[in-house]
Amino acid sequence: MTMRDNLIAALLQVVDPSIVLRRPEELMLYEYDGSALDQGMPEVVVVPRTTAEVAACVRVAAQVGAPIVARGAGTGLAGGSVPEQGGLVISLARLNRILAIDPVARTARVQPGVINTDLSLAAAPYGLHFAPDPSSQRASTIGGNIATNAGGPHCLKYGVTTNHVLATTVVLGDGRVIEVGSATLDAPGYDLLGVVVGSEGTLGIITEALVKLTPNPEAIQTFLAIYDDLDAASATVSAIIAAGIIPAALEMLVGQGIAAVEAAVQAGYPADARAVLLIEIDGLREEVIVQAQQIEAICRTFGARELRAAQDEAQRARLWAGRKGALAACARIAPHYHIQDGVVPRSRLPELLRLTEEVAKRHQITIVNIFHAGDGNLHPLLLFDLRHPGALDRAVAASEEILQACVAAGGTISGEHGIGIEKRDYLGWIFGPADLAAFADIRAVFDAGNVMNPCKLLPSGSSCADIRYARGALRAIDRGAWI
Amino acid sequence: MNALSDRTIPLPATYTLGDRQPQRVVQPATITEVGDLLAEATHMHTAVIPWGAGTRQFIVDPPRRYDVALDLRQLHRVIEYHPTDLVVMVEAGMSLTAVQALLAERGQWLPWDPPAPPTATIGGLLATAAWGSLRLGYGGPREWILGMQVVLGDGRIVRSGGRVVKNVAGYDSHKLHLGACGTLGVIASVTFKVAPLPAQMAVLHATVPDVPSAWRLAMAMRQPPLQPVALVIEVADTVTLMARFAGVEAAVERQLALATAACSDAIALMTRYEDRTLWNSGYQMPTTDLLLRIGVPDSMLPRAIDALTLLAPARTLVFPGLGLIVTGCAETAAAHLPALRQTLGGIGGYAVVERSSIGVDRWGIVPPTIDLMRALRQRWDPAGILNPGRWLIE
Ligand SMILES: Cc1cc2nc3c(=O)[nH]c(=O)nc-3n(C[C@H](O)[C@H](O)[C@H](O)COP(=O)(O)OP(=O)(O)OC[C@H]3O[C@@H](n4cnc5c(N)ncnc54)[C@H](O)[C@@H]3O)c2cc1C
Ligand SMILES: Cc1cc2nc3c(=O)[nH]c(=O)nc-3n(C[C@H](O)[C@H](O)[C@H](O)COP(=O)(O)OP(=O)(O)OC[C@H]3O[C@@H](n4cnc5c(N)ncnc54)[C@H](O)[C@@H]3O)c2cc1C
Repeated sequence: MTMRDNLIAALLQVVDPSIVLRRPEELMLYEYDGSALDQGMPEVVVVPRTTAEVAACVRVAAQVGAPIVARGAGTGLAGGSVPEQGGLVISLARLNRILAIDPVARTARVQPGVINTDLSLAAAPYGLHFAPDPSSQRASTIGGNIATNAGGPHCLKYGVTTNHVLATTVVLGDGRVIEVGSATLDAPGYDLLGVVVGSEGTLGIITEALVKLTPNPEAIQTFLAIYDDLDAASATVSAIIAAGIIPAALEMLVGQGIAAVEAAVQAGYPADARAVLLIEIDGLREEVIVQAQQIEAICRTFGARELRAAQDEAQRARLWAGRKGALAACARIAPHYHIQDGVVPRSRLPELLRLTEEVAKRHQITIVNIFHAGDGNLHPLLLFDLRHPGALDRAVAASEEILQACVAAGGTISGEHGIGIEKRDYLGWIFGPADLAAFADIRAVFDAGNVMNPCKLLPSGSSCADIRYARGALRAIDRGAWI
Repeated sequence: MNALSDRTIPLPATYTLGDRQPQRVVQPATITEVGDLLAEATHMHTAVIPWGAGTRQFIVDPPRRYDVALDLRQLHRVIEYHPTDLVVMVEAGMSLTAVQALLAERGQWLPWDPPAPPTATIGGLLATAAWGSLRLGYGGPREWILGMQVVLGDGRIVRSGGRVVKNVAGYDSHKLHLGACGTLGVIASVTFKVAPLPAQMAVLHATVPDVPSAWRLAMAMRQPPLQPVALVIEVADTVTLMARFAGVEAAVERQLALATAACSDAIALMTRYEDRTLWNSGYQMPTTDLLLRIGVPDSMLPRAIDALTLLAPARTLVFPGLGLIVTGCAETAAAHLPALRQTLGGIGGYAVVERSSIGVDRWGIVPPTIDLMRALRQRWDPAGILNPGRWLIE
């Protein structure tokens, strides 16, 4: 019997056969995630409905020695949920219930497969929402958000996922079920929750979470600032922060992407602009009034061609539609993409944006930047056509050059999408061998058997030397997806 | 022990812990020197006690062994400060007061107000997970740390996190050192995200008839549009509620007016605008012999306060919205600890002894994940040289 046969036989003994998927056409759906470059076919997929079923599956897989990969919605952009070594994929999609919302404590207890937006919708009647808002929020799961420590446009003011998680239930690689964190603050012991968040399924599988809900702001104001000059737009970003304003969101679209967005979404972005800033402030109404005046003054001082303020919710939605429709819109420029996620100190944005343009020219590919400017979190979207010889190599070379520049500027290689497969070999650019060894220690403590998403997140060291992941055919962007 | 013999200073009695004195006190001048010292200590099995300003050594037990006091106050440099990027990186021996003074020059601050003496160091405050009332509005230091450099027990110098406001590369291992009381490593340098100082800050003190009315008032104060950045109920001879508001002038004013209106059954009421840069937590920690820190799910605070009456506390500070209580009692009250802990355990809470002169059980409960915690300590401090016998993970 092959390992696969063993695994299936053992699984069928401990769980209901209806949760075990093994036909090729079923497995094919689990071959990819949202990243374009990584691919791997699982041997088996299970879709458990309880923590106990997850634990039972983990125990069986660990015994057989099969790698275990947790999967939420598979929107990840780093290959994190791709089963590059085969093995068992555990989909959390059916663990999708909101178990409780406590409007007084402002918390929600959820299963990991709950879709991000569904939680905010359920909290809306209480005037609350779940603050992390990755642009994939209509598809991605809370479990995936926690596992990647997801960010989003509004994390500039409200913080990333780790700032909004109080506790999680975790199934470890040996099948033990533990609780990290607590509804009670500062309980004695090390802050294990702190490392579980953002661990990309390498420390264990999150099967339940207690998260914080945030009160909706009293007032919101959204602006679109339009620029003919790239540096002027970047300077505006720095000036807003320097003025002591932390906007709720401060997003930027550059160059060719603007016209593409306009053609697709008709959000009212002028197609000839060099850059646009989407600026949102929120809070108490007095705060919003004062900050709106400051922002208007700053935009004019730094040479905005035009500043439009949304007059009502419909106009606001339209301005956001442009930002949210950006990825799909850019699909009209070229059939294939690769998206990067480097971060630089905000003050270094102008030079990075210039460098991106220069790199694009030199490698003859189109790069559109649609990104979280307030955080210095760039999202160069590399667009190309694989039918052109050498296109992929040029894209990878260009992407690496940009990431290296981010690191050289004092930044990092990923602000929110994670390391997964895609960036694991770049980790050595920002961490030394001792740092990586300490990370490996954490992993060994949680997962002594090394079965949980092995070889992800950390550089492919000796134990992973035999793995060569398939750089599969890149796919076209799904219409409607947005970054 | 030979490492850093030239950094050894004369042995003052101030480094005494319980009835033990170290054989020597070392004041390293660089992080590399800390690494050398710990590597040697691991090799020789000499016990090392990291020492900040020594203001809070009482919150953990005296060490089982005590060879070296590792005084970190010479690691007090600002490594970089970029006001326009809202990021500061400092060595851990720097005092929080000095960091705040530096930031205030540029109209910025760390919204972190532990009720600590001005000498308390960044490293000591983080190792003890110190927090103040502003945690309600701004979160604790955990939310403001971007990265850290730590010397692990075995002398390895490691980094995690980064220097930019968003970063998901690697595990957030720095969080493990918060509140670990220096049992995994010595915090060497820390990068913080900082914030612009609010334009205006104001405080309201309301003296109220009793605890239930203070609680009702606290609940009312948390209803939008009110968003106090701090809320403290102080229960002593009288019961008072303190609420702080921060933001643009007009927003603070409206909130103060609403808050004042909510205080209809207050016996006395006082509001005051505050100096933004001379910030302090605005309350005193109890000075009693027995000092307890209690945590419960926030909604359980009234029950926890009830349960405390058994101990006849001299002064209690309650933090609505955080589910935390600090209370000071006479040493004799320790006899009621088991009963208190049982009640608290029933509502998902705990009571930790922060100060006591008699040998009481400091923790009361053992976390179910203690084996993972031990395994972690075993990897990073394999010889168990850091603060041996002083903390939960001995
Ligand atoms: C169009 C688009 C826009 C995006 N915008 C953003 C953005 O603005 N901000 C941002 O941060 N990300 C963004 N992403 C990336 C992605 O959506 C996030 O990383 C998201 O958090 C992944 O959630 P998921 O449920 O799809 O997880 P998956 O992709 O299924 O998994 C991601 C990782 O988490 C692990 N994992 C998933 N569930 C669990 C679990 N229950 N327990 C343990 N590990 C688990 C997986 O093993 C994998 O390593 C975007 C992606 C797309 C396609
Ligand atoms: C009476 C009193 C009560 C207090 N109660 C509270 C309270 O309830 N809540 C609160 O938040 N604050 C409280 N404080 C504040 C407290 O003073 C600070 O937490 C303290 O000052 C820590 O800083 P330090 O530099 O003096 O550390 P020290 O007292 O020297 O050290 C404290 C602990 O941290 C370890 N340590 C020190 N530096 C490092 C380092 N760089 N790396 C690793 N470990 C290190 C030490 O080994 C020791 O275990 C209280 C202070 C006083 C005087």
